[in-house]
Amino acid sequence: MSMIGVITLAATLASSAGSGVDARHSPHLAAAHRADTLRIAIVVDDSAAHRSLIRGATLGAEEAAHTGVLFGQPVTMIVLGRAAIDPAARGALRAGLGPAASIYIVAGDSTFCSQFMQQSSRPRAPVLDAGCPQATPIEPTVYAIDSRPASSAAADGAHLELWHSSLERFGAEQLNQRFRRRFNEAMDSDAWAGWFATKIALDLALHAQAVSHAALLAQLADPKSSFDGQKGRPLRFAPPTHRLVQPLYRVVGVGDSSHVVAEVAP
Amino acid sequence: MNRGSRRRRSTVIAPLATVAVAVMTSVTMPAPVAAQASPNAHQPLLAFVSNEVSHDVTVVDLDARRVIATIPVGGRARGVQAAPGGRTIFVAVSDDSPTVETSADAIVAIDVAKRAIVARIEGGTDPEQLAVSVDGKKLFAANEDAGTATIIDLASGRTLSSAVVGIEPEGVAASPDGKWVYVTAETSNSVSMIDARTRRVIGNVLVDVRPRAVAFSPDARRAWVTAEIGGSLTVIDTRAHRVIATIPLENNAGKPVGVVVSRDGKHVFVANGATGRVSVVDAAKLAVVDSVRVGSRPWGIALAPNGALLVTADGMSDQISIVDTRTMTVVGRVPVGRRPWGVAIVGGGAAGAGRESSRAR
Repeated sequence: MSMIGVITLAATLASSAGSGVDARHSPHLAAAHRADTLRIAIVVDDSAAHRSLIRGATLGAEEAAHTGVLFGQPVTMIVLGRAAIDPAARGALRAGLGPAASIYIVAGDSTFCSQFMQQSSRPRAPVLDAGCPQATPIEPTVYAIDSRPASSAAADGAHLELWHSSLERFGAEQLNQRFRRRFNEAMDSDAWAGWFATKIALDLALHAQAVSHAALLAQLADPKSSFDGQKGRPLRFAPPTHRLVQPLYRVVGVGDSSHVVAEVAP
Repeated sequence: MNRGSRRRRSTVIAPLATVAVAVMTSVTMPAPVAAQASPNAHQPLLAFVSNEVSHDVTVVDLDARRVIATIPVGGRARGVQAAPGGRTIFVAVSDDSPTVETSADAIVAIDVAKRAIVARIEGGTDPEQLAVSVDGKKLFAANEDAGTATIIDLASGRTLSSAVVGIEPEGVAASPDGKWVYVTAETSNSVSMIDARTRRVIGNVLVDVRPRAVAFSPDARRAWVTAEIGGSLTVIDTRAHRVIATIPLENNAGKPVGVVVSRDGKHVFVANGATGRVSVVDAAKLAVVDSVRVGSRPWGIALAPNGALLVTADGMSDQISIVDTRTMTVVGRVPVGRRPWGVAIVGGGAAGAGRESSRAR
């Protein structure tokens, strides 16, 4: 995905290698360039590798757009590729496509994430880390959704996940159903992270009643802010680390044969 | 997002899309409840309890504290409401497969006297909670899958319209003055306000996180909304269509779901699923003034027509708890089906006796 810069959802998701998203099913995501539009940018180094995250974010953006209609808050989602870390390309694309994103959701390898976050911190743009390595330095404007320890494999073969398609309580079953209906596959941790990041973005905008970087960052930095990831408790970012405090799930097996053996409280 | 002191956002918007869909009923519909005679003063006080896992409705004689009937409903029974007059009970039924949709989705009408299903109404996909208009002519259902609220004409069984509300709608209530229908949406953290006459959404308000149930005060001037993850009770001024207070319950850890307002409007009772307690909120002070422990995971909650008894559906105890509203003590527990979800109460004399108003709290 080396050539992709800033592209609207309709153009990107229909053509992104491996994402499998058909933009024709995103009726709420018509591009809107109103000043008050919440522009969610998904920044990934490889769309095929982050197919699941993009799908989760797509569902989240569609739901955000649905809710946004209720409150007069337009929402769009765009996908940025490697060009997102090329200042010259960003400038050109921005000039051609209008204002910068209101908030960025980023996933990729350590180098990609580090470069993007360092660039984003300068204009103080809010960034939700939805899939960067743990070692990635946390800039002041970056908040990390994946709070799993760097090494989450246990001796019994279990590993930690953010989400599992068998979860049922507190709306998890309904969320799993919505994702499966939309993409005909199970929601995994990456998909949940993408969905949750877009949900956070809308929550920030609705409560701030603004979409400026400063307004969204103020909401993120407020220690009273919490979010519903459909895990049964309010989820918050820990003030010192900016990492999400959340339940995790010990899972054994892979794919359809995997199952949750325990919930790990934060 | 949950923010304890934040300013609530309320927007009145243009009417959203509505779709008229004709539906058919499988059996003859009951007569509109408005045409039914007043309840017999000597009718036994009965609780109808929907059981989510055993797919049935348990009928409990609250005076005798015993089960007198079990009515299979053929699916996951959740929302349950008594029609005005108390002769019909409506139960929202859906399939219980997380990944497969079936034809189980329906709203069933149970004849109280016959203790049998007399009608099966299409209520949109995956109906969860429902409400009946005060004139007994319309039924409002939240369709969790579709993000809509369906309005059904009870005389014909036809769907009149389907209003777009928030994501994952759940709680539904019709205002006692007949003007409004409020619908909560768990994922959108919203309450949509539907004009009952025009059947259009006239506005939406942002409430605390994961709103579940909503109940109106008897004078229809306030609506009370539980927020399961927020752990609070949001109070809405129905004339201004705006949030006026958010009341924390059980240190925000109670996971409140069911809510009901006393007949005199002075108290609001909330079932806290996580702590197994019913909170008593003073409607004037907007503060919790008492609580009582019931069973495990109480979700559904209902008040007897005369206000003297409160019943909770204790989901993880497979029982109901019966609470005397004067003393706020549990006076009975009755085993029911598996995973009781909701409860509705009929009979026992005229409504409005308001015994609970004598409570010196």
